Amino acid sequence: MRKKSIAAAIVLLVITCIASVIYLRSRNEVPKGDLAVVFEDKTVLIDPFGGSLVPVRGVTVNAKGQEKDVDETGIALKDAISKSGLGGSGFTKARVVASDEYSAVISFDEINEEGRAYLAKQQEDDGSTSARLCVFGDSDSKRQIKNVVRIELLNE
Amino acid sequence: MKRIDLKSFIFMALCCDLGLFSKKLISPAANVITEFLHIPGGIATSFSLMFLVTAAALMPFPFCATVMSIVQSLLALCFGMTGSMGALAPIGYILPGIVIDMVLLGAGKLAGRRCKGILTASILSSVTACLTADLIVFNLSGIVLLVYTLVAAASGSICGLLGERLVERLRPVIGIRQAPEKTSYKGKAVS
Repeated sequence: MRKKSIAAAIVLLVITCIASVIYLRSRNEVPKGDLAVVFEDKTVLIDPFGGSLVPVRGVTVNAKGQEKDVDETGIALKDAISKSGLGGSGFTKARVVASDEYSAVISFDEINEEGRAYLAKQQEDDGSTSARLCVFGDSDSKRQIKNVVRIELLNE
Repeated sequence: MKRIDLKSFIFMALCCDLGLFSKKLISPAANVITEFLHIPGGIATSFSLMFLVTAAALMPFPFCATVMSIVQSLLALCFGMTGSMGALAPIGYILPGIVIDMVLLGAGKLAGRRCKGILTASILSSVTACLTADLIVFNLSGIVLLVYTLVAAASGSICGLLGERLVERLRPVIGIRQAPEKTSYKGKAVS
């Protein structure tokens, strides 16, 4: 019984390793500090914090339901999208994806609402920068995403 | 109906707490692997479910894991440990508990011993937990979901092996036994 259990665990580990290698090889890695904006079959890499930054101020709600004041610098989400030159007004919502594939969907109206959706600049330990999605006015933390790597513009 | 003695209750409570808080302890180590694989989790939950599986395999009554998972979900809500699932967190706790009970019940019926289902219970409960999280929060699809599920299953299998060892070690101390019958003075059974 014990040998069977160990064999089953090893088989699962091997399958997981194979699937992980296939998955990691199929991933399109975005260079650190950059952001990929995807619309239909086009992908454009942008440096979201390359230009002038704006203050990102507001109140978000953390996972415990507590309010948290945010006072950082960054860029409005709509400006990040327009930097890529993709989409125009031909999309209805954007899917913002983190490096671990966790994602949040933001509607076109929310993106264009003043003071609603921002990408805050985060300094990493290795000196690189990453983007954190801040959506103000939400009642929970589901759309506060760290390590944003991709914005997919959807027309659904 | 088998009676539950105080020792069993204490053991169940201990496993509930260990399951809940061990997740926080192991998360930093688990995150190293999940960040490398670019998936949103799946390892820490398997470790936390190991305690539920262990308790359910040792306790002499059905629906132990379900009861414990309900207690865990209530504790998680009280302590604000709901993560990104928010108010739906109890679903993520209770469904794996039900799966553990079903598998152990099946193992008891088919193989004659509940502990023969530990590995399967651990794997399936981990997969259930990860799919529930995916349904409620992550909405992953394709190969990412496959890798996420496989990582949960693989870590569930390793935790299942650990659980089997734990059950072997704990059986002499906690082991399945019926509560003693009512006894009168000098140990004579009362009718």
